[in-house]
Amino acid sequence: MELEIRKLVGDEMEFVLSGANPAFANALRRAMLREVPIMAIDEVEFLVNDSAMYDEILAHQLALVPLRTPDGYLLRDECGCKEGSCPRCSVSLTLKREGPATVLSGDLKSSDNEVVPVSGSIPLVRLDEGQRLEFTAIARLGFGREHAKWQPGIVAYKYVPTFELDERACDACGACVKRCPRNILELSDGKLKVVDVEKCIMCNACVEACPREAIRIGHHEDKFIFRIESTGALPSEQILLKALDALEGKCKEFIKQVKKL
Amino acid sequence: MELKLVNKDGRNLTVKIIGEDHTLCNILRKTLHEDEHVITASYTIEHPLLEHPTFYVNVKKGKTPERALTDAAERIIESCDGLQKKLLRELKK
Amino acid sequence: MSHLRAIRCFTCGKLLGDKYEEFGRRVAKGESPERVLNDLGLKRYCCRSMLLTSVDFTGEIAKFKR
Repeated sequence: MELEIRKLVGDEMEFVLSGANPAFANALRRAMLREVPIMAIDEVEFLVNDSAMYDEILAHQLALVPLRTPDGYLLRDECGCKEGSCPRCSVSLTLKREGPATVLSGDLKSSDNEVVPVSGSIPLVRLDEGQRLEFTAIARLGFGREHAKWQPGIVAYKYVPTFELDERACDACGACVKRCPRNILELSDGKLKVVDVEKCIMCNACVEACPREAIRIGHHEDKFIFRIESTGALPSEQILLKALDALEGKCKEFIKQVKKL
Repeated sequence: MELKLVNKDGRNLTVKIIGEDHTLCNILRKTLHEDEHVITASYTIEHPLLEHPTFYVNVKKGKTPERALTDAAERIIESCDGLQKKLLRELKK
Repeated sequence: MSHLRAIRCFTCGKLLGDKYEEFGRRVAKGESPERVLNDLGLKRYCCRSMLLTSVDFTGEIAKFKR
């Protein structure tokens, strides 16, 4: 299997995985979405909430605020602390504000300044004159398989398309060039050329447009273009690395369990 | 992860993998098929809310079903490991 | 913000909460929504629709005591 990074900028990463089968590609995609632990608010204790938003609605919003996730924290199960949250497995974020004001994610004060909202300008709730809001939120590590708030980002892959042209049948009429919704075809020197086959979305509009049936769209069976868009909790490449760790971990545990049978 | 034995007789093995889903099972199934000793490998998830897929392996003479499973898991670990190394190299560029 | 301003795209989960304010401000000034959505980096139409079709009625809600 080979891996080639095409783009790595900001929270986005694009890479091509080749020499793999669809089952592996999907296992990787699922592992990235479901098995990579990140921090998210999991419990909120309200002391005062005079706002127009109910406690549980606000708590839900807080849970969805992406938090930067450093190394070193334990999973709740691994920690074994009696209270269910201690400095080794959780972070506490507090907020105390009085209106008139718009409460922003940046108003949260964290017990660990490495575990903070990815963006400080997410509006949470509006407080009018005299309205107070005071709460303590506990953030823990969790997995996407349990709740979408713990999904580290968006991960998707597609096959690498193949564009086959029967050059004897093609008369360079240009009908396909006009129909392509991604503009990846062009006529140059009286011949049909594909500008960028990887941008093809395999819609077959060109195949249908061709009066000579000269085009065939297919795909490579073992090449996948992955796109990772991180929420900012973890860098994209970390999501991929930890997903591979997670898959390995499952296999190692599986081997251990099979030997016990 | 916990394995619950459902059936075992010579070349067949049926086991419930508690706490797992397609993430492990599908790639395990596919990797098992690469083993020439494996005749059949399949799994079924009876209900998406109950996390216990039932995995079935059937082998030819020459390898136990358990061995086929651990071999397949080892191959997946190798693939993941190799990919991690390649990724780290790419990142250094 | 509040009830109609979801902090993530309902469909893909992309963080949007921090983008509503700029969108609202620039469109009110007369800029084309298409231009602002592009500038904010919202490529998918699921995310674009979240901003394009959101209505903020928190002002009305705030009038009612809980």
